[in-house]
Amino acid sequence: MSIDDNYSDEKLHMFIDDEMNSSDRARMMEAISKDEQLSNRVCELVQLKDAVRLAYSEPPASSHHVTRNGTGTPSNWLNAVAAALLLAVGATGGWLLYPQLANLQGSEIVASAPQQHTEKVILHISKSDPEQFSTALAYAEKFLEEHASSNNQIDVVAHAGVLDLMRSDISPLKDQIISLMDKYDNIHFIACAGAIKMFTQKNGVAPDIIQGVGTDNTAFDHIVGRLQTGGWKYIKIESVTEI
Amino acid sequence: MQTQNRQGMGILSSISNKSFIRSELEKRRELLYRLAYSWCHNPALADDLVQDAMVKALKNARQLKDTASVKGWLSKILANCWYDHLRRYRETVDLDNMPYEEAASTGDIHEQQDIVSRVRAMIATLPVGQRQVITLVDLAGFSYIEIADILDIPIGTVMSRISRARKALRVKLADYDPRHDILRAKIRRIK
Repeated sequence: MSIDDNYSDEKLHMFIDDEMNSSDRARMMEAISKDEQLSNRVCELVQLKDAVRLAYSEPPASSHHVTRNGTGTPSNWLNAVAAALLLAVGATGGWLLYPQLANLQGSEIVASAPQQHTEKVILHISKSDPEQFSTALAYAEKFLEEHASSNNQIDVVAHAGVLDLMRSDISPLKDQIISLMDKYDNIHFIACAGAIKMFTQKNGVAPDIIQGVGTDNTAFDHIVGRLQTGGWKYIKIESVTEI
Repeated sequence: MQTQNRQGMGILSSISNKSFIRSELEKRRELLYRLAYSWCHNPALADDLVQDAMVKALKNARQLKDTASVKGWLSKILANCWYDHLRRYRETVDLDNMPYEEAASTGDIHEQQDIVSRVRAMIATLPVGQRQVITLVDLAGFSYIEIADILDIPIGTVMSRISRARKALRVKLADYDPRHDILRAKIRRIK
């Protein structure tokens, strides 16, 4: 009976997977040094382990991943995940829609909990669609007309892809946005700082953002910051056709 | 109003733990993707699984009691996402015997030209349970006890699955001896 016969495959696996205690490991090392057959078995297993590592060291990237998030960078990707989380929380955590939103046709607003009066609302615009944005602005104005108290607030947060609609030089909604900011103190527009940074890096010049639009924070951080203070309702608008 | 306040506090509490989770997710996303890909061999599905796992991790941030165990915690969430996918795929899931058909689409092993693809194709032929265990130990470097916790199985099952997986892989590797030498050479080079 050779030394090799004393060692089952299971023990060898424990050895290569570093699952042995120090004394068993020392005994195994000694046995390997004395038995070529055992040594060959261990080598073969180590090679197998390395082969598995090698096979998945560089898995193919998902094209799906890039298209969904634009850049595919980890932080942007993570922000997208976090935004999805907010939607999930909105759907299950009872964050309530302002009643009139129930009248929006074709909306894909996540959260359909029972209606309840709300005072602070975050409108998160995710698509660069002037019509959708315009409808959201109309909603915001209606909200402010009906909630005249300065305690009521509404934030219109534009995600990365919506930056163009916050630009002074090209936004078709510039006048509407300025008009709302002039008329109400309790409406705030936020252009994503991350999108501004990317735009600047790509074009070598900062975008001309409409005066008065907040640019200090990313859309995600702004939303999370608001939610941390409590009392804010989060609404993501993905597709709105009319009020 | 009281209900609203309680909800607000819950959200605040959850978010307060999220900076740590977010940081860990950024660090570990690549590993999670590699694991997911090694289980399903489909990049788009792997991406979805990781994204689902990340959403769940952030949503359940408060459930992480020990920050030192975050790697295993995230892997456990990923494994559960994978099970959810499999449940949609089949009504009953026998991980020990279940091959995953989508994996076969990685290509016929005899048509694969490169070693990496060949090894992946071999892994893809393993039953799901063996595939998970072998990748958790070899790719992620988890201990047997950690894997038992991640997959919610006895440690004896972990060990038996590892044995069966490696035995099967050894047999399959031996089937293509001409490549075996190249594989060994390549492995030596990367050490």
